[in-house]
Amino acid sequence: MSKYIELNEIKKIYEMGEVEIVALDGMSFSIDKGEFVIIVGSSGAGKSTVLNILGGMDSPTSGEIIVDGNEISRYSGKELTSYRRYDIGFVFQFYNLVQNLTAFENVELATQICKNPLDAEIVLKQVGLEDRMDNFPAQLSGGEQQRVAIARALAKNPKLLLCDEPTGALDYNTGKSILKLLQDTCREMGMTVVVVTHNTAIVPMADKIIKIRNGKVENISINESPIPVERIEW
Amino acid sequence: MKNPLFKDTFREIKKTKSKFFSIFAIVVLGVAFFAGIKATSPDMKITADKYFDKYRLMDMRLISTVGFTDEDVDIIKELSGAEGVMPSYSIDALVNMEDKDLVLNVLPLPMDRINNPDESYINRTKLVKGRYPKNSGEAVTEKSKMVDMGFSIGSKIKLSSGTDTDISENLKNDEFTIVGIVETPYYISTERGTTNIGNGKVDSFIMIPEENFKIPAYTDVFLTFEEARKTFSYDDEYDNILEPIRKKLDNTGKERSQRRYDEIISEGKEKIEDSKKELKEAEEKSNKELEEAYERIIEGEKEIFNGEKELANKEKEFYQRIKEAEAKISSGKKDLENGEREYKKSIETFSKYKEEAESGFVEGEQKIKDGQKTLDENEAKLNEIKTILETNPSMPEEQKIVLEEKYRKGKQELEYGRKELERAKLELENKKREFSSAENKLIAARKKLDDSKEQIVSEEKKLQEAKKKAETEFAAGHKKLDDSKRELEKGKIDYENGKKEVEEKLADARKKIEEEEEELKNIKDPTWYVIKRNQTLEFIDYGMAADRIDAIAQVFPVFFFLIAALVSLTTMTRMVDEQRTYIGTLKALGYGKFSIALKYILYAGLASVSGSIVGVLIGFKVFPTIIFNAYRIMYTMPPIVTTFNWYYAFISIAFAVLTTTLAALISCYRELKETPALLMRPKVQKSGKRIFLERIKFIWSRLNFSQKVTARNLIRYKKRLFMTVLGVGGCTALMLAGFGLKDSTVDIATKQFDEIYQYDIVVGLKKGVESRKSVKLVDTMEKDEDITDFMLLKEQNIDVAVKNEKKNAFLVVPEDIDRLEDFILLKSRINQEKVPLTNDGVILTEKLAKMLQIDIGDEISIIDEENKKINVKVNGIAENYVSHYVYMSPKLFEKVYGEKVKYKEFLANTKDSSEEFENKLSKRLLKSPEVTSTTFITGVSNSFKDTIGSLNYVVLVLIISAGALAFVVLYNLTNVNVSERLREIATIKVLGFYDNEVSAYVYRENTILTIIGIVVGLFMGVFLHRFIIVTGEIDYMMFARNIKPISYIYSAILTIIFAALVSFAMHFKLKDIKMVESLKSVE
Repeated sequence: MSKYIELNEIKKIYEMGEVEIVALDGMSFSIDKGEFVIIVGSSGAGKSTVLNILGGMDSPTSGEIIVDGNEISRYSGKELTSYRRYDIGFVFQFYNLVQNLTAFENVELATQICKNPLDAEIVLKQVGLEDRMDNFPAQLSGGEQQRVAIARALAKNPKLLLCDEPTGALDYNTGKSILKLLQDTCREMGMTVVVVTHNTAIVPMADKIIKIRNGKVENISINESPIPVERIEW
Repeated sequence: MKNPLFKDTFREIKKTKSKFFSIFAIVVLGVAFFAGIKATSPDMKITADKYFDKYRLMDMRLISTVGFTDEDVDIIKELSGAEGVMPSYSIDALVNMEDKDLVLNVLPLPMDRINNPDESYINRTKLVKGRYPKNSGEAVTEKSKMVDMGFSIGSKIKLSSGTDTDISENLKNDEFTIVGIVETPYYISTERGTTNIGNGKVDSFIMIPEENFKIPAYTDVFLTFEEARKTFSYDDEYDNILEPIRKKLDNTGKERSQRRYDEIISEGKEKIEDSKKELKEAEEKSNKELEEAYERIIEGEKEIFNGEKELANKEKEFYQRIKEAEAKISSGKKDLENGEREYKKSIETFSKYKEEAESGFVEGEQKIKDGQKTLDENEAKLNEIKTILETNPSMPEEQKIVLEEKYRKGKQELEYGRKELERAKLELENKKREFSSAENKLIAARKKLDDSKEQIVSEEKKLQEAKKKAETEFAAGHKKLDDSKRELEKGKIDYENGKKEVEEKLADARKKIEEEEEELKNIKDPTWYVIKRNQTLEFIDYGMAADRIDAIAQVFPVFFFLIAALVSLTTMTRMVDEQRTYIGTLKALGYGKFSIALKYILYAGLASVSGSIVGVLIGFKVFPTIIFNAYRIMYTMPPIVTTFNWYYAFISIAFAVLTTTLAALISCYRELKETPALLMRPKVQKSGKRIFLERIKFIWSRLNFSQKVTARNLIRYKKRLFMTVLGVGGCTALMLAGFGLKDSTVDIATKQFDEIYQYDIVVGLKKGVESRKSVKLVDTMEKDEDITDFMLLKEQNIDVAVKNEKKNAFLVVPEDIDRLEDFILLKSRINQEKVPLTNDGVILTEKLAKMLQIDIGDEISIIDEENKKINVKVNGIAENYVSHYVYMSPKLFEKVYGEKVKYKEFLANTKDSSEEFENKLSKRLLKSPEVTSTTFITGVSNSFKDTIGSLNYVVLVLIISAGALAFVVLYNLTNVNVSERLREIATIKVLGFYDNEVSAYVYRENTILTIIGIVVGLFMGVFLHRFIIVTGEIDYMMFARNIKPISYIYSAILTIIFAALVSFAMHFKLKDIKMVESLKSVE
């Protein structure tokens, strides 16, 4: 399988006045199509930064990122937006649903700007929310909200699903079910999924584990036999 | 106090510079506008007061209809206790400028006091350019008008009186060179009053050295009072000081002026008596002269008659003589002819005779000659014989005897022959003599004939000459007679002319006497007018200008300020809401409520205090200056003195700080009530709700996704909707009110002077008249083609009282109530129906009725200047904008007052209204001694428009300020809006919305809110405008109530433009939103 995503010597330096903060210090790795990747590291290691750069929400200071043959590190602001629009699905720790829209509408918000969106209703059914489609976010539990967020990301039919601590705000069981949803999506839809977490316990469920530390890749390991999430306890 | 908290506060400010600044800016704007507009009117008055005091504008001016004597001045001085007393002169004069006569008010300049002013130098001048006069032929003038009219320093002007009297009766000099330009508080407005010369309107003034005046009595006395100067002229206190003095002087004036009046009257009467006497003498003298001239003419006529007769006789005689002479000559000629004929006959006879005689003579002479010859031959023979005898003595005797015989015989014969010849000779000679005598006789006859012929010719010639001479003589005689006749005719004409002239002259003199008598009668009732400074037109006019601004300042800035406060409150509330977690953290750490709240109080306090201080400083300086500078186009005044008005400073600062800080405190308090745990957690998101619209499937299903979102968002954030609509609406309302204010004020002039006042000119009369019959002017006006219609009118200052309320107004009584509408159109403002004036009640003007809360059918009391009070019923209320009027029919007037109406003016309609036309007309009218003034409605209207026009600048300031506020408000609200929805916006950005899609997502709501705001604002504006007008209207004026449609459009479009500008600015802000940072933080 060809290298679907490739990061080469990515550096990200934030300049805060006189202080320079090196968030990413020459990070390189690659991800194959359809892989379930977990990026793991402690707080401040640069997990979210690399995910944001990968998701086109931020640009690297130097280095190159190639996604599906396109060098997105050279993209302009507008091209990045298009990249986000058509190629990326993003899931946040705090769901970031639009409070004023129902679950269905939140999904619709994403589908209406895409070229080949999936049907919002079907996606919501897929994530197990067929009964809660017309509820507003405030009327849903955390897990349900995260499912809406995932449905919203998936409905765009992206090339890449990026999840930033998707279970961070959820309890154990709900977290588990969300992870399962992600894993199933990867397996069933052949979606490339990148999950950022500090929870090393869930690492065995991934195809590829990238450990990072102080803005550098510490270790990349390929898991030949990922374990379904139901069997992982932490 | 905890140090870290302070640090945090200041860092917060640093971090949220734009928010801090936006609160600061809105407070600056609100406070500056409020304080500045509020302070403008007081500042204007303070500026005026300082100017007046500095240049010693009189506190009181006394004018007398009969003039002041030195004695009067002394009495005034003593009685009033004035600090400064300045008797002065004032006359009006004409100066010709191209083909136009300008009227100048000529005032004295006390030369001795200009450079060393003492207290008796009042109404001082400020030299702006050039210098003061050095000699009596120099003058100074004002800038605005004179310079406009083309005069400048160095111009020479020649004054004339504009009346029959020569200006030299009042002034020593009548030619002046302008050497300087001055300003004086005596004249601050552009109006210079009315006059009875020229076109009836004073155009400007000049000041000349006082010595130039030679008027016997002072026309003015100016007074200043020390106590009065210490007070503020526009205060009641000022009036309180002056009023008692005025009353005192008024009373004295009655007595003093009466005395002066009597003096003048007796002087005048004396003068008239003198004139009458003079007239009588002149009459007698000229009559005598005329008589003599007449006699001379009669004599001349007689002389001519005689001369003619004589000449005729002479001619007759002469021609007789000529005839005789001619007869004689002709008889002489006949004689001559006869003589000639005879002579001719004689000549014929004679010539025959002559021929005969001559041939006879020749024959005779031949004979004589032959005889002689024979004789001689005989003699010779004899002599031969004798010689032979003698020589031949020897000869025979026989022979001798025979010879002797022969000799003797021959001798005898010879003797005989000789005798015979002698006789023939004699006979021839006789005959010759006879012939010659005949010839002589003929010659004599010829001569005689010639002589008589000559005589006749000479006589004839003589006769011709005599004739010629006589003829020329006669011609001369005739000519002389003709000349005399002509001369006589001329003499007759001269006589007639002379007679006429004398008659005219006498008539003139009589008329003059009559006029003088009339004038004496017309001499205004002896009055002193005691005018306080605060009663002068200039002072009141300026005061009203300031009041008008104050009127606008009643509501407008307050509303403005409220909007600003509302927005700063919103911003502050939002800020506290955003700091929820921080508050929770501090609370959890154990900080007291006050310590936590202090940050926000400090934040809001710092922003609002600094903002309001800057606002006050800017406002007090900028707004009064801008507005006053607009007014300085109309008023000649020094630059404004901007004061720090503590009252408004305190009010505005306190209010600004309180609203902002209290807002912070209240939101803070709301947060502080909750437990730290709750605070630390993200605020429970307000749940989305199905809105009403969703139930109407029909509409909802037709909306696309974004429209649905927008609709739901609008409903969801009710506070934001309310704030935005109120903020935007407020600004639109302010702008609409500003435009409306302009409409209301500018419209007044058109409505009052073009619609209500139909007349074109007011002609003031010297004396009140009971009917038009007693006015000579009526004839003139009827004949004048330029005047189409006219009517008498009485206008009188009165008070209208209802219960305890009392308002000043004018009582108007027209000559003819049916024709009133041709001059003044009384109609209802609401339905534009005519309001007829009847004999059973009066008509009130609208504002007056409203102020007194009077309705049709109510009764009012009218109190006149003599405090006489009458009651009348109100029959109608009429539209009117300037001043208050009570219209009353003459019949009702006579009924309620029991006396005849004394009309004092004419209202007239004219053909044209061009300046040239009006000037000519007023000049014509002012020639009549009955007329005091002419006032054209165009002039009044224009000066009113000018006054109101300056209000335009104020309104412009209001509109610009409202616009600025609109901008700031929109920016602020959009800012708040964006920061509230930062997460949502970041989310949709992450989802891949393009920049313009993101903007559109936000703007859709903003646009709708702005449009709602504009609509609401237009409604609010109507009420605000109405409210401003009702509260701010000056007593004597009613502003028009309507706003023009275009003003609505302007206000709406301006708001839209500001909203668009803000959106444009916000687009970049939206673009700049960092997704990562916005999504990272927990809300």
